[in-house]
Amino acid sequence: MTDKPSFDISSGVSELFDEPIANKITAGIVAFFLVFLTLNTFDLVSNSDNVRSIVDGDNNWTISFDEQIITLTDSVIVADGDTEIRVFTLDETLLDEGYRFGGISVTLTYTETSGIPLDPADSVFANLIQNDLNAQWQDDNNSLSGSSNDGSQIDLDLRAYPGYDGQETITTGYNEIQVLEQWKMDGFGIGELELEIAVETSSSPLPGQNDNEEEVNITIELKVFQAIATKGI
Amino acid sequence: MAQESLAPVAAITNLILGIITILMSNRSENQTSHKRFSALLIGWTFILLSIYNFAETLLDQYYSFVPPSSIDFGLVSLDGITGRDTLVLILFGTDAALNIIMLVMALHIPKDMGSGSSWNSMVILVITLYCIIIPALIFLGGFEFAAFQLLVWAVVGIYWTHRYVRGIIGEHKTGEEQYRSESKASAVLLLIWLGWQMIWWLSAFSLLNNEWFVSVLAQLDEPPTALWLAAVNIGWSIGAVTICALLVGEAFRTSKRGLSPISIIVFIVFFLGFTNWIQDKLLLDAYYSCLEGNCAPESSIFELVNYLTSGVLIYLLKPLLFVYLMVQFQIIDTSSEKNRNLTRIMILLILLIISSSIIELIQSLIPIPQMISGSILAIGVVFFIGWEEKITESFIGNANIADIDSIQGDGFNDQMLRNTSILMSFIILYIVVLAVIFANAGV
Repeated sequence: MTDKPSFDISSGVSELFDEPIANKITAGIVAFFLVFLTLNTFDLVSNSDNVRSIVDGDNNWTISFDEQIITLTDSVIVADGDTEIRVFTLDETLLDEGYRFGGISVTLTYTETSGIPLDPADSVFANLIQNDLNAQWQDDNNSLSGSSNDGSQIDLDLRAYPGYDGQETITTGYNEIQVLEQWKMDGFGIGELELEIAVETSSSPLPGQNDNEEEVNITIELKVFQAIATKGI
Repeated sequence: MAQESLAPVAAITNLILGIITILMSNRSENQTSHKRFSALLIGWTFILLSIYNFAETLLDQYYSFVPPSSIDFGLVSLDGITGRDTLVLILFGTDAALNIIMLVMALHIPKDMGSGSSWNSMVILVITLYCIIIPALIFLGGFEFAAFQLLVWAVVGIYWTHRYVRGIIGEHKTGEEQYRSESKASAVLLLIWLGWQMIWWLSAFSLLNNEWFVSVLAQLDEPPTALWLAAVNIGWSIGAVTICALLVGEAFRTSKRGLSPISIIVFIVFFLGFTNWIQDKLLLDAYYSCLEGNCAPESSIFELVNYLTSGVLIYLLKPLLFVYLMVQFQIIDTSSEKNRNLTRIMILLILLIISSSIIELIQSLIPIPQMISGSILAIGVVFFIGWEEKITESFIGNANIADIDSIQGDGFNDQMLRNTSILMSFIILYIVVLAVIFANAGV
């Protein structure tokens, strides 16, 4: 009879590795684990370097905008003392892939169309009605109403996308995805744009010549943009 | 919807389960001494988990919440408040003890790697030295050293994965139940110890975990070393690799032999990887906001998903699977008359905790009045008490011979078993005293 050894690990180890297929699979798992760990670590180290450069204040990005203009036109004849409301539907179908509504400019033009001699220009009042259209209605740069009594054009503006003015900006950020995040929000500028137009005609001093309506031409320019991030200033 | 922390529930559960398991181990004279030692390891794991959860609860209650990952990565710092610092140091100390017990458990369950009295003495010596040296080293050398303990996770993860693969292949080749028992025990142990890392597998593979870590990196005063970053990555990587191995193994086995409860758990854990990946993706903004020096608060949805995944796995599934392992593999002697009542208490306790936790989880999703949830729990209690005998029988009766025989190992003498308990008590005392001393010294 042989004494049992006081320390034996060899039988446990040999039993552990007695299945060749399992050994090969485990070897594959270990190799995969090591490769994956190495890749993951490289990525994390690179992240860490990027974070340090930002935390230490050296990661600037220039955000520029590729801007396009979509033009919608319409005209309306408004009777003296009347108010007309024109509705324009703004939706994603107007946009190319990756573009968003930045701002809405409305230009109203008219000339005295009565053809009556000495008939002065009529007064036209225009107003963008605040409604569910997803835009920056309280923005200081908006011009939501205007009027003209000399035939000059009326310009109205509504900022659709928060902070968008088409100008290049400098920002700091970790990567392109992060710095472009604030310029990739959906939904802004979507809805129905309601334009209210009122007309008050001015009659010719010549007796019997009444001017009782005016044709107003509407041009809507939708500024749509796509933000582009470039590293550095 | 606010979620109540599961840590206090886990603390009490683990404490009771720990005491019962140690008592049952001491009373199981008919069991092999290897099984009694394994039960002791699990019992003391419960006790250490309980201390960890108590410290977590007190920190959350009186100071600030410290997530488990902060301890694993060594990201917590002392702030000069003695009470808080003591609790933080206790977390580090118990975490170190749990890590070495996990390694020792891997070398003992399902099969003992070594044999002989010197082997057993060496195992106990390794636990002692690790628990004495490592916490002190972490306290003195800097908490970041704690992250290097994740190497133990990798070793254990690979070891149990190999055992699992070996079991699956052996069962496929021979059809013998003993191989399934080996793969089942290994899978359960992997889920117990690494389960909460497994649920981030997709975030790990898509490198999204690294994006999450940006929020942590941005708050560090000094740039971290590449070695520490590699250590941090070990946890995610081993979790991702092991769950994929388990998934392939269980899918293969299911196709050949049908679905088993373990397969279902593995599939659920794998599926959670998708939900957590989506959560990570949605929270990228919040992570990046930390780069501007002011982290955006994480959303309530994040907290809820975290609660339902990591929280449940860490606090609820762990004790449940340990009890399953002990009962199914007869690591504790449930057949002995002396242990009968303790087994009943253990099973009923687990059932009650699961019921109350599930009610709590439902309450975090749907705000049911507490009167209703309390009534549902009371109905559950009445049901469990009324059907206690049948429930206990069904738990105990499920153990099959192959499972019971699969836990094999070398003998410990009674003296050594007693010494293990004395030693573990000493280690816990040492960790607490060390934490108090270091916190008061303000290191």
